[in-house]
Amino acid sequence: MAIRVVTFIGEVCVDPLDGRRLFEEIKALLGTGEYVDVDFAGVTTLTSSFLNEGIGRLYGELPLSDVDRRIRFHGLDSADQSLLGLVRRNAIRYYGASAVERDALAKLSDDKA
Amino acid sequence: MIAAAHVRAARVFDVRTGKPQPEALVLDANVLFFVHYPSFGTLAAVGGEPPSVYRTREYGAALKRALRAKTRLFTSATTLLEFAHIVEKVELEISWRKAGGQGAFEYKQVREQLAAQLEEIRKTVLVYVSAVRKITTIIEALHAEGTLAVWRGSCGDTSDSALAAAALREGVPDLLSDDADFLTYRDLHLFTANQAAIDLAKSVGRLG
Repeated sequence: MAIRVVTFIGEVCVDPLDGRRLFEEIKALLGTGEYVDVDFAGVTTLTSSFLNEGIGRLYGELPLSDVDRRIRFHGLDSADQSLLGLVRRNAIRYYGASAVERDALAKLSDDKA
Repeated sequence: MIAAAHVRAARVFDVRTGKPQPEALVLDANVLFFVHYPSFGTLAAVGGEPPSVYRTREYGAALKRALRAKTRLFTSATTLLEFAHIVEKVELEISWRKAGGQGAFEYKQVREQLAAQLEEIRKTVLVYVSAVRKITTIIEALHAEGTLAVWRGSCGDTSDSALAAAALREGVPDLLSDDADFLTYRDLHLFTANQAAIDLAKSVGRLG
């Protein structure tokens, strides 16, 4: 299964809400196939806040080894690959936090929304 | 919040409306931080205080509209350094709290304590800086006289003043920021989602 991000989201990938849409799509496709190819070719702008919602969130849904094995990325230049690497590292750091710590986050987010 | 008498910005726009969409926009460090930094969840999880959710949401959406409209984006070298400093500070705070640090975070003290981690943290910071540089044009070398003149006529700090001076010198008066201090700079057009700043601008007839 494959997703062309430029078709699904557009050339500009900076909005966390768009990232969430990408996450939902990848999650759905993972339910129907073994691998998902995420192709960023044609995307002109990519931010970590988008990737955090779109990709980082997957590490909270699936085991680390599953995400790394079943999702394959294409069409990223070296700078965006570095950014994706940081988002991955950050997600692992976050989802490695205790449930109590994550509860603290949920409360903070609710208070400030 | 500053007093109404100090509101000097030419116009203030609620950026959430998407109108008007300027041809060129200068980005403040707080906007760069809200949009380009991904670890707010981790910061909150370890006991730090991330920015309000509306900030990441609204400024992300504003940046998307600007990029889709082919708005040219600028920031200043000083602002880029400020962004790097903010990210480094937060990364240090996360490391410090994860290692058991509690209470008030003292940047300088923690930076000294965690000096062995600085190289890795700064490598991380530079990845985010690169992401900013991909979408913005950097304006200025710092112009001390112009900055001091703008600073003198405002209620903002020297960093804000350097950005305002650079924006005005570049002929790009439209500035995206969550910082209400930019209300106090003459000739600037402040685009913001900061409701208190919007309300204040409305009360003195400068909104929209």
